[in-house]
Amino acid sequence: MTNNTKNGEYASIGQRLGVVEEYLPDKNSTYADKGVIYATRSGAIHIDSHKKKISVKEPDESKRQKMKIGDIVIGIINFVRKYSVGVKIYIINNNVKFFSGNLGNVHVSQISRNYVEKIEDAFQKTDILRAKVSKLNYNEVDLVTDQPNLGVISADCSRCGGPLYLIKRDLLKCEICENIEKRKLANDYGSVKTRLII
Amino acid sequence: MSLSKILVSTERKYILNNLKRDKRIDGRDLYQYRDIKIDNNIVKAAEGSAEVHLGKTCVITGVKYELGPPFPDMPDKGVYTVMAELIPMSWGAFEGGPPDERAIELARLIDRPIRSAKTIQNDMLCLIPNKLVYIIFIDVYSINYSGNLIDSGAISALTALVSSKIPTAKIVDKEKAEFEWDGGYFNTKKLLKNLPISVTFGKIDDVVFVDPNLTEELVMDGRITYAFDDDGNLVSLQKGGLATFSIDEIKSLARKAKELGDKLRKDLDLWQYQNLKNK
Amino acid sequence: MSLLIKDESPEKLIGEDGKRLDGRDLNELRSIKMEVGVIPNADGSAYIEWGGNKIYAAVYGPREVHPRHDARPDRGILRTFYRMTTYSVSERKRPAPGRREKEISLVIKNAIEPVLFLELYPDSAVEVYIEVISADGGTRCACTTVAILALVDAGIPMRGLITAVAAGKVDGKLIIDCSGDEDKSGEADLPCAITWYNNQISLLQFDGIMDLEEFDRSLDLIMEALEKIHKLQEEALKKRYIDVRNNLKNYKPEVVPTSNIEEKIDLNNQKNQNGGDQTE
Repeated sequence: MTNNTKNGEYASIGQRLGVVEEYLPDKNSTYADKGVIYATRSGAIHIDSHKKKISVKEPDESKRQKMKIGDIVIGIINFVRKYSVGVKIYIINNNVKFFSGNLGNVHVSQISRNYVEKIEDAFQKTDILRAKVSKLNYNEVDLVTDQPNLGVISADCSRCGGPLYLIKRDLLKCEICENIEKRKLANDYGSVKTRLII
Repeated sequence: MSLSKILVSTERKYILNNLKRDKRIDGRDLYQYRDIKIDNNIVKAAEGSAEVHLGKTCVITGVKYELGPPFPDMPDKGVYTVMAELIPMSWGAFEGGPPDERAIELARLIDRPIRSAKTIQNDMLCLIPNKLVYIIFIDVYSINYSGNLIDSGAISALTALVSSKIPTAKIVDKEKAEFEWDGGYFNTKKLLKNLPISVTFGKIDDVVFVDPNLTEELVMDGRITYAFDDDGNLVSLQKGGLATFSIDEIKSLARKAKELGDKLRKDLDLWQYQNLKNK
Repeated sequence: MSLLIKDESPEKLIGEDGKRLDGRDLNELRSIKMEVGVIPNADGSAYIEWGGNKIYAAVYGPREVHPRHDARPDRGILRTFYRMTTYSVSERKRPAPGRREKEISLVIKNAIEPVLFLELYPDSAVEVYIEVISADGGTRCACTTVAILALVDAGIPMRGLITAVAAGKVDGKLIIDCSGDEDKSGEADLPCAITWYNNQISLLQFDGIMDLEEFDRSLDLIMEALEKIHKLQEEALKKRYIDVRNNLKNYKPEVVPTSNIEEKIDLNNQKNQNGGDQTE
């Protein structure tokens, strides 16, 4: 069998790409059957010559909601546990995903470069959070917020639900009941400018 | 919905700042419509049909008829209904099942100008008073929802009506309500009198703009829809969402809407979609 | 309810010259046009014009399962919704989905599911919405053919494409790709779908009357037609790939002069996308 698989060439679905002796098949875009590798997506063939890994890349992978390490996500805090918060992710790299069902976790040690004593000092339920993906787990991702641009981008008062405005770094004040709250804030809190792709 | 909360917190300020500088996120002016593209006669089985693209928004409307009894309070008038379906195919947040309040509001918003302007000459649609009239169905389906289904839906409903070929009947036996096709079709130029054009404005904070796109529609406080008939009379008006408008604002927007509607009416020239084979 | 113009089925569906009512030969397909990526909101979408059929398919997902208890921890679930618009058929259809639509949804789901690698998406759902705008016979085959294209566009990994077509029998003769009229007054209808990776049949229904020899011959007719449609599917997908790639090449991120961090993130991402092949 002559090897006509070339980097960057178009592969149609089910096309034979090679044999397992040649390459390591990528599980998201190829599959191996009886030692032969076939494409499971249509797109450009991509051969990683170092790892000997073969995959098929779509022209615009950014549309897909599969998260990678380093992706910036925006979500809403669903649970506050003792040592972590659960985040329901709605936006991945500025792409809005409805009902994506992606969940993330921020551990207390990953919230800030400064010491955070109680998790309530950083996050509250229903806060909107910008975070970075640090690890991919089975059906959840680990998130970090230990950079200036990451953290809470919008929050409501935990006592009366009113809007909170910034008084100084990581401190917020409620417009209605003047309650003062602590958060780990992103540095653009209150002036977020994003352009989402809906 | 948590999603709209996120969008409001991330996008609203950006959009608003741009609007205050007379700029839209898609590069339009405040009072500029997106490109409108109209196709008609796309469904063979329907009496009339139209596909309208307004930017990325796409709606397909079909007109069907049946013969049946009239409403008791209007025994010598035909019946027409508008139905709108926001099918889950057109957007990730739409759910299947019977039409929800949003779809029903949309249907009624498309219906109201047609009814108020007496667009459909429904006395022409009566065969035997009290017994047999035409029942016209105008069914609007969203194919891709990218904001402003009201205006695009209204245009598609009118185009489908204008291009429709509804067969005319002759009565064979009045007592037994027997009838048959006389081989002709209604001339829509006579059946339809007036084509009211809807113009929808969105409002964020105190900025008002026309034809909101999807992002704007998700973060805006509310909207107001005006419809004007051919003679320039107001035929329908509805405020939606949580926004409030001042009296002066409502008055000046009405003038603006009339101006935009007249321009749209001229540009679209919906009568060109009339089926020329009609008698 | 009554209509003025009755649907009259023609007496003879095959003319003196051996051609069908629409001028086709017995083994000739109607004209088929496919387009991938037509609904911007969807994760994947496709459109098909197959004779008088006009059908959109859109895929959303993999995404959260509603209701939650339908989710499976070991694999994703596939849902298909075959729906017809009220005006797609000659007598107005009721807006609510009927028994026929639900059955066809299931038939299409069962045809498609064997080729998908749903085990890559545990706890999530892949939803395929199919909307028949205009119907003219053989919609279930056209829907299967277009649904698989939408799934490819959505990036759902699969073993191979699926193609479907129906054979039939009218006036005692075997034909391929029945139109609406032939469907209604024909003697038999045999819709059939193939999974190309192993050449197996994944959708098969039959109604009408045929002897076994005719049955064998109609399957041969089907195989011949499927090859042709499969080529069109491949072409539509390749065209989509080239279009998207060209769009990406011409895409220049708009640089807004601002000190905002978020904008910087934007640009970095863009860089990664364009040169993503080297940087991984």
